[in-house]
Amino acid sequence: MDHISRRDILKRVGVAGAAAAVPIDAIAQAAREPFETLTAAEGATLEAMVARLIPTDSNGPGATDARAARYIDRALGGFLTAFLVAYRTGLAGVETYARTAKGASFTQLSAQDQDAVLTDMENNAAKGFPAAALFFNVVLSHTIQGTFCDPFYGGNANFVGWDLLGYPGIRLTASANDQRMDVSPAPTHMSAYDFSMFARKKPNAR
Amino acid sequence: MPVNLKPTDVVVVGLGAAGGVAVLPLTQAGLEVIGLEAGTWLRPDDFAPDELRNNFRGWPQAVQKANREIPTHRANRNAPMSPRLAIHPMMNAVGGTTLHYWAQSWRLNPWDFKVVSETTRRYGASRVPKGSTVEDWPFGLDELEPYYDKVEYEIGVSGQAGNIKGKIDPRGNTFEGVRAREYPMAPIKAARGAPITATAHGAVVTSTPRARPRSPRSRRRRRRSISRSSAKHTSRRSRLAPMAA
Repeated sequence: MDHISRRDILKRVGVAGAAAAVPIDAIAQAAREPFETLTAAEGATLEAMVARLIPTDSNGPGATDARAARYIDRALGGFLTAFLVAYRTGLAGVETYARTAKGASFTQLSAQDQDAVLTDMENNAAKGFPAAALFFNVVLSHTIQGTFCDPFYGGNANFVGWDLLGYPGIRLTASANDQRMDVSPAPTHMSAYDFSMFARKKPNAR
Repeated sequence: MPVNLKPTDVVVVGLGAAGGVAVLPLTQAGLEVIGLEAGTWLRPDDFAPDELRNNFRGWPQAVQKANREIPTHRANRNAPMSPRLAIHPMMNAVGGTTLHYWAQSWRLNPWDFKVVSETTRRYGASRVPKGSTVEDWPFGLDELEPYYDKVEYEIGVSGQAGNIKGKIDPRGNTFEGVRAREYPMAPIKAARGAPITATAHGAVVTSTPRARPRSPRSRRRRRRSISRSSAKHTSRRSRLAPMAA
């Protein structure tokens, strides 16, 4: 489960040449602080789910790189606290169903088997897992939030979600050049709350 | 406990698109106006472009009043009421929902005032569903035109007229009803890509009237001098001075 892609490591340390100088343990620690709201086991299941919902693949980084699970974990202790019970029940349900249907913890399954479990949930075809589709859709929508939200909330880490979409980020003005058909505006890599105008009124980051 | 407040000429309840606009001519006429608004004053720094907060977390604050007032509908009196959504993009604040609308400032078309008679004329009476409560308006667009004009010039709408006193201008919306004069500000530039896509599909492309300027340096054409002519009334202090200013 402690999967960190090579792309991710290179991104974190900035340049490829520096990778060798950084101990792997330090990279792993920097990448994975403990969960705040969920237990470690629940968090591991959630990490494995988001990794399949928006996978890291040839299109580029996915929900793992964007730290969508961290976003969800933090929000479950904040704005999304009403969903906490649903997550505890749902993540336990995922593990139970994975063991029943595939004989192992969801986190230990191959990507193919994980996709099969998620597809059964999405289609409400996971036997013994009531309201699986509901939980699937909740996690999917929160994974999308955590991948593409303003990084202020702990997701979209290093702006990978916005870069993936080609969204250049927040701009308070768009010049004539920015609006040309043949121009892709350079990414700003700024949160809304990096602008002094909005920094005074930050919302709750959880 | 009821409290007797100092008498005033006018109380406007709700300072949104209707009430908020009504305040200006009232104060300019020299009346003392008190505005009541359930929401708060918002300032430019409240408007962070944060999609998560704005679209999913009930920005700017939990608008309980708006959420209680979300219209519901049902097919007949025995049908269940439609559910209310958790978060509604309606605003409780000074300015109301105009604070975050798209600033498109369309007029109704002439046809909109004659839905029943025009539908009947073109397609036959059978096309108006039996028992429908739809009605023609009791007057036409021409009666509202001076008021559209007035508001467009007060709030500053950018656009390109397509029909000034019957003279069709293909640069503008040629389907619009007769208007007395051009918009107060030149049309905003088209978003990149959109005109090319639309033209490729055979659509007619026209600029949309927007209640925002083309550029920070845009000047309004022939702005009406309501403010100047009413300046003599300003000795009577308005409690809405920040808004009227």
